[in-house]
Amino acid sequence: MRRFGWHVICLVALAVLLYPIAWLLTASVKPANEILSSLRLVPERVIMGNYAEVFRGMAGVSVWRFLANSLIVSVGSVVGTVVSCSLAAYAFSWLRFRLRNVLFAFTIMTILLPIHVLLIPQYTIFQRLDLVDTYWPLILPKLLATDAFFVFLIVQFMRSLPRELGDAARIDGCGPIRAFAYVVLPLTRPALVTTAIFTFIWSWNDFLSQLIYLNTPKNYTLPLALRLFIDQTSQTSYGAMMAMSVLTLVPIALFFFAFQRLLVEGVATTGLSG
Amino acid sequence: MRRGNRPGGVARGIALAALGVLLGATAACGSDGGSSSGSNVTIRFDWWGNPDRAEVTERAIDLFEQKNPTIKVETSYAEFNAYFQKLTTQIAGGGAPDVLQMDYRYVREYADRGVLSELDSGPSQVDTAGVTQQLLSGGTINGKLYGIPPTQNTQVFSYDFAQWEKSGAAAPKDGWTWTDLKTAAQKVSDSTSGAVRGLGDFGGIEDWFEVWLRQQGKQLYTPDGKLGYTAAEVAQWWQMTDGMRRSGASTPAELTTKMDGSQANDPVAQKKASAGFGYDSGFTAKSWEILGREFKLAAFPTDTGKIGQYAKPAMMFSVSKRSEHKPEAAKLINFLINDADAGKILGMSRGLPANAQIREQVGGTLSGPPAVGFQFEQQVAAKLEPAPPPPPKGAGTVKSTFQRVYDDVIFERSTIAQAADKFIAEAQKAIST
Amino acid sequence: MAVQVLGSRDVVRASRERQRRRYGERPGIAYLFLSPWVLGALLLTVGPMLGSLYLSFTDYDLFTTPEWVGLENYRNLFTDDSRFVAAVWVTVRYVLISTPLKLVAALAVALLLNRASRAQGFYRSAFYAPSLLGASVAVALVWRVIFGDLVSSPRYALLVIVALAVWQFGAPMVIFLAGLEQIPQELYDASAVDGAGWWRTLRSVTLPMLSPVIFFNLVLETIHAFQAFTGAFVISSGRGGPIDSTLFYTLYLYQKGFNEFRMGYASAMAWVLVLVVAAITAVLFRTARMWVFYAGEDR
Repeated sequence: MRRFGWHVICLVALAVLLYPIAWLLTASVKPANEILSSLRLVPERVIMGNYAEVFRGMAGVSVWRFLANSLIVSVGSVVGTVVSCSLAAYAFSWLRFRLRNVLFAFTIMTILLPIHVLLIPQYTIFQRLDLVDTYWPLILPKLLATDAFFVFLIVQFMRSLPRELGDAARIDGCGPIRAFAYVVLPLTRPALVTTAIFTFIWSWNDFLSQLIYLNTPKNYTLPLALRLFIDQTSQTSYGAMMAMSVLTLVPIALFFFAFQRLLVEGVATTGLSG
Repeated sequence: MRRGNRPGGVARGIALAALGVLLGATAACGSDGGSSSGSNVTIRFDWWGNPDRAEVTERAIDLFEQKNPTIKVETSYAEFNAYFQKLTTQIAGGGAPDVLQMDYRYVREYADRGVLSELDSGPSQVDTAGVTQQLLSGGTINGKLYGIPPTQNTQVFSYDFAQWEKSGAAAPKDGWTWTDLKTAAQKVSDSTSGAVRGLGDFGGIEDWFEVWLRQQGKQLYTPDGKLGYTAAEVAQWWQMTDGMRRSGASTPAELTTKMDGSQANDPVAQKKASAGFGYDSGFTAKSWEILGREFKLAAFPTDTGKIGQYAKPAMMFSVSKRSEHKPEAAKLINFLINDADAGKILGMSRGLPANAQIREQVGGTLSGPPAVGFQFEQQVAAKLEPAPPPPPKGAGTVKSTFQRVYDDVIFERSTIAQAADKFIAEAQKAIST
Repeated sequence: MAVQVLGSRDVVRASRERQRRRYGERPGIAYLFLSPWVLGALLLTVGPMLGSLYLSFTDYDLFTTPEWVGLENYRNLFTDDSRFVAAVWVTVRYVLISTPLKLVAALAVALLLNRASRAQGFYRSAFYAPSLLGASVAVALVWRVIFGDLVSSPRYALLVIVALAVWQFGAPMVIFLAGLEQIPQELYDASAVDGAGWWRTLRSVTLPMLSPVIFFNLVLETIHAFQAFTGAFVISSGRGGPIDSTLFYTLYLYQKGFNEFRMGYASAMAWVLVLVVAAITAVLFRTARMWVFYAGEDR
């Protein structure tokens, strides 16, 4: 019975929480004027025209192309972030060196500066390197551990691993590199999976960088293309915009659902009893 | 002790993914903007708009490339706000496009800072003979032309005539007055018990204030860039509009403050108001569908006999000062504005064509809402005045301040007199720095 | 067994043993691990940071050369700018209201979901779904439709944005879940053997073991709250209205920099924010010593 009660609580909470998303879904099959004027969840008319409009593509580029572009950027970001941030986090949490605290404080500090003032200097750098209108400005920062959020996250997880692990590894003859690869990294899997999931989703939705660095429509990512529907000085296709939102949601929702499972399987024990 | 994955498999997976990404990233390397190989030149053209406009623009560009085989055009577009955010960043960072779409309100900000190239002389000269000369003054700063309007529009009053008839409101006619407007709007509100207001509260929009000013022979800015009005005029205007709010003829504060030019926040689109002021280029093929009903158009009401409206550049094309291919850029603009075939393709996508010949041509092919807009423009054409010169630096800030301070009025946080003074003070500051 | 005679190879191995005993004595290794980070910092972070610091002492309109004005931006900020004061006030209120709510929601749901069940995957994804959307224009539209007139009411507009932020508690929730996964089952077993109820277990096992993660979420959510931009931007259409009641600090900064072409002033605002948030973060780190427990002991 307790199990049943648990389910009830979860479902009730979800009903409230997911109402806006339900509205978004039903809005995507409503005609344009109904979207703006009505609060109802159930559409008066159901039309698939919004989705048809989306699949017709924009400026001659197909939706699948935008999807592929988004995938390139997001997968690249995930690979880069997971690798580079775990390396850096290991150094900050398990290794001792003189500048450790200073550099770690600097890492935290990089999160503090609002992006809008960094935007133009960073753009200038990439412009000089002639990398504008490629995906490098979007992926390179991830390869270089500039996402201090994840460095800090992984640090916290690595610091919670018991010291005895390090001793055991040492006794087994591992140097710091092998300790990293065979001991610490596998045990911080929850953190790495979390990093991967968030990096994917956040880089997918990172509208501003995509806007600034991508010029040619055929290089646009999906969220960028989505915004193209909502020009306020001319006619806006609200129905198609809702449909696009749903479509943008689907890949990352699937991704999340598939990968969150990995959070469970990497259960870490202290390893002492083993 | 559970060790989890062995790093071997993980490493392999990462390597494969990295390889795929590298390939993808290099594949996405666009060609350099503005490069030339041999006699072939590539220029970049950025504009704001929506997918419909993009489609016809792309077709026009294809035609241009056919007619000019040595010039290749790379295009990029975004919605209005994103466009300017991107443009500013790119210019500041050294990556400006060759041809850009410019807004009347910002052209001076950009020209005064040396970002735009002259279009009436020099390497980026464009042929402006066919364009309505009145319009050109909108892009002329200190005697030089920095932006050419491809299209024009003018201010308009649009109303849901079916609703007005039902409510017994008198339809606008030639020479109607502000009092007529108030009476009619009141009738609509009363007959629907306030569910549908006569019109959206227009007091905070500087554009309409400007028309009202011009009806009295005044202007928004003097030729030397100072404010052309005082707190007294502002207060008078706000007395009128706030009066309509209080009597229920126009929308309540909560609805009014949402208005930002987009349809999602337009009380007319939400069927909470039956009329409003706007621009006649805002009516495109889907207008009646989105609004859910049909509208009729009329000129502004006036108490002085002058309607105060002018031929306004809906937007402009400009050339970047740092463009390395100015003649080619000018050619593109020339094509878009003056070429008959281009005119046919582009139609009304940016508004009413500024080139007189093309305008005639296009007008004949229209139907539905755009035709209504076109007919209206033809009707008032004789009464329109030339566009005033581009507003001074800081004009954008003044406009947003106007709306923001009006919020204080409609939420009854301050008296009209106080608000008017406060606004003038802030406006002076904005244009003087 | 016979006593082993130490050959030269053994000596070398023994000395390496001693070296390895303290990893920290080989800074080269540490820098090897840090090399991507160092490269990234030098190339992409330090330069722009210093650049923006320099700009904060200039009058920079984005297109023409910056003009040095010394401390004038900072002076104007504190003495002559009423909207600045409004922005600070709005942001502080936002941080104080939204951060605790969001963390409590995230923790509560994470604890709720931390039990073996076949539906776990579904529930996790469902609770995370709102965060997938980010703060897009589409979401803003949905929010306006749902909250109607509250969005444009000066008293409640800020709370509408808080609601949007708290609604998207998925990220801290997932992090809490990951942290909960890392708690060894033996501790729960031991606690059950001791006869502890769920509240007792929560207090003496779960929360302490989770404290590094709680700390992380606290610090980062606070920092993010101070920098909140997109929600306010899309809901107020970039204006921060009505009557500046949703004029978040970074939104005001953006207006100054990009709409009013005063990037020097905006940079000054940015650095003021950095200093304030750095101070707050430092305080949080200090208090951490009292309540955050690392199973790995001080390292």
